Amino acid sequence: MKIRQFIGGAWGQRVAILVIICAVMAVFERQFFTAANAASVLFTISVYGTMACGMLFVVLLGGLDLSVGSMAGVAACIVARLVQDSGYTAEGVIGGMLVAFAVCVAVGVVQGMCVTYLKMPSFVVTLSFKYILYGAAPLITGGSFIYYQGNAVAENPVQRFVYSIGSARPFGVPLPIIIFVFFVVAALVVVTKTTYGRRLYAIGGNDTASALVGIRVRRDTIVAYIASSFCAAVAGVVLSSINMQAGQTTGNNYEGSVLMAMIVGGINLAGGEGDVAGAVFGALFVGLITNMMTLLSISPDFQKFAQGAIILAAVCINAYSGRRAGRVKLATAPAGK
Amino acid sequence: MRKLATVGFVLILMLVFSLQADNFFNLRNFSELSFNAAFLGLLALGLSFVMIGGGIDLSAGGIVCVVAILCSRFSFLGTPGIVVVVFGVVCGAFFGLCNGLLVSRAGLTEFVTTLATGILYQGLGLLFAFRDTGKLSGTLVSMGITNKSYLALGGRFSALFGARGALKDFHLMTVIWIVLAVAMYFVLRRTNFGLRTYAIGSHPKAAEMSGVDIRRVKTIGFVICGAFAGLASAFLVANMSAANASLGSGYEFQAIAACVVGGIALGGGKGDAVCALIGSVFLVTILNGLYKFNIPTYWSYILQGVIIIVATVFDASFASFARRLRERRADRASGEEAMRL
Repeated sequence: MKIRQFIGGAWGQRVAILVIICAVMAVFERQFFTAANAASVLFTISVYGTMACGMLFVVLLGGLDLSVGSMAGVAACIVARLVQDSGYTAEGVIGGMLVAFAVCVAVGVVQGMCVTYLKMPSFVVTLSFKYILYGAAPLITGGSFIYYQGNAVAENPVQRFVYSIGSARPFGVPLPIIIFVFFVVAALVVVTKTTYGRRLYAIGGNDTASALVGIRVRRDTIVAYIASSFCAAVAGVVLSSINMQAGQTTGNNYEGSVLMAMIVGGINLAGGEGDVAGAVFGALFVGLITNMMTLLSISPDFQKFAQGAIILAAVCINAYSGRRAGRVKLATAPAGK
Repeated sequence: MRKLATVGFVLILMLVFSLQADNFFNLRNFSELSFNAAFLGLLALGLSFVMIGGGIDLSAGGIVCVVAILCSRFSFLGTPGIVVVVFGVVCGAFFGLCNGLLVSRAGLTEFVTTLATGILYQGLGLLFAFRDTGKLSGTLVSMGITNKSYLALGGRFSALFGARGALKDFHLMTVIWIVLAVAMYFVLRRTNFGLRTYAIGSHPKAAEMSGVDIRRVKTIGFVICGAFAGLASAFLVANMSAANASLGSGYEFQAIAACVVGGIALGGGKGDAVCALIGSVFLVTILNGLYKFNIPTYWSYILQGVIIIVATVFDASFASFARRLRERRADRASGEEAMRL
């Protein structure tokens, strides 16, 4: 009975999708199961996953953060610039990260205030900030890309610290994965174990009712945008150290993939519905499907088409299953109520 | 009032640019400026139907991209230019219809649906785009359009009717845009469909209770939005005499910015077609001015983002100011009445 429930339930479907992707890859492309490919998939997943963990807070509120990609780019640019300008010192590294996180948190506060005090739709605010941050990135780097000098890294332990976030392996596990797992656990604890998590679901379900029962909706909303911005900033630093470069296009258009992760993970974009596990599954899915299309040498042009089609299909499926669940609930409700 | 404020801003901007930049105030620049304004204006004009109805369409850029490719492919068949433009409008309307059906019949959230279809349409554009080998694996190439009657439509008036008249330096699209903006003003303010659009934008529940078919009005709004994007795209391709698949990204955002600046509120129910017209002139003037001052292009991204937020703040404070003014006037009127009694 339990097994049947598992197969019929959301998790059965999720596992089935991942198994199907792996099976397809096993048949068509041997390279999929090599260690190098596994590492590259895990890197992709950890970047998307870290962003998704933060964006989850905003989405649970019924909002949407389209600025995560540009936010990641700006954070990466700030760190790269300050580290370079300081001449690769420890202060430069720590200061760069602090400045980057502070700037992103400040932007998150402004976004949250635009949404709460100006009552602007969340996606318009974050779309505006996507372009503002995208335009701000060249101001930080001076218009060009900052490349991490690979051979200098080996000599200087400070440099190794920043630039090897992408390649360090404490206890044999790549550091991006550890960062990703840390954020997943943190998000899980906040969402399931704290009152703030419960408040997020309450606001996402009905913000007027939440305000009436004494939840400080504005404060909680602003905190959610801060969380999203902070996670995006961390993901940006990780991404730039994996790619050994930072510039305007770092993280550009990542929000599409993170959004895909959200929707595939069954998180209701209207708010109040979804969990961390869904976001993690979504990140796994996005990482695997991107890797699959690259390995099968499907042209990047078709990948764009596929991205749109997958988002649309997942939205349709979510809407359909949600409506069916609603109908079942109505049908089983006791008569006379 | 709100429109006059925006017009005032446009005039101030133009004055400043004319005085400060020596290559701003001339016929050539105004012709270029009006063409850009017409392109953005057509997108914003279509979008205004969706936005007044309380919705949003993020797929305009994607529609521009795929229609551009389709139009340039179609023009190689040697059809007359006007047929290519009509083809572009029909294609755009079809893509808009897809959006509308997904939103109103399948009941999906608007911005997610149109965000996804926007990516999808851009992907379609890439799939249809010209490639050196003709196969999907080839690299993208940009094909110059050879269809003379189509190219003439994208050019200046002088290319169509000879070098006569006051309009000879302006583009055909500019004139079509202004005519359509005026026509759409009356469609929105005078026809049943237009009034229903305002009704569903300002109070959807009340509109539904008084018998407005929300799903139908919404779908038609999306179709109009797509058709305008298709029209703008067809003219743009004719003007550039080539189409490539990177066209169109970011236009959806510019169109939203133009509408918001013009005074079409994000919640719906406010503004009209003339707002979209003024808003796009405003945005294009600023972008043109930045270009004339040789300011790096990334500033334009920052500016567009800031403009949306500033315009919303302005609208909010403007609305509260107008309300206070009304209240004070009402107070005074009731006071006078009390005196008389």
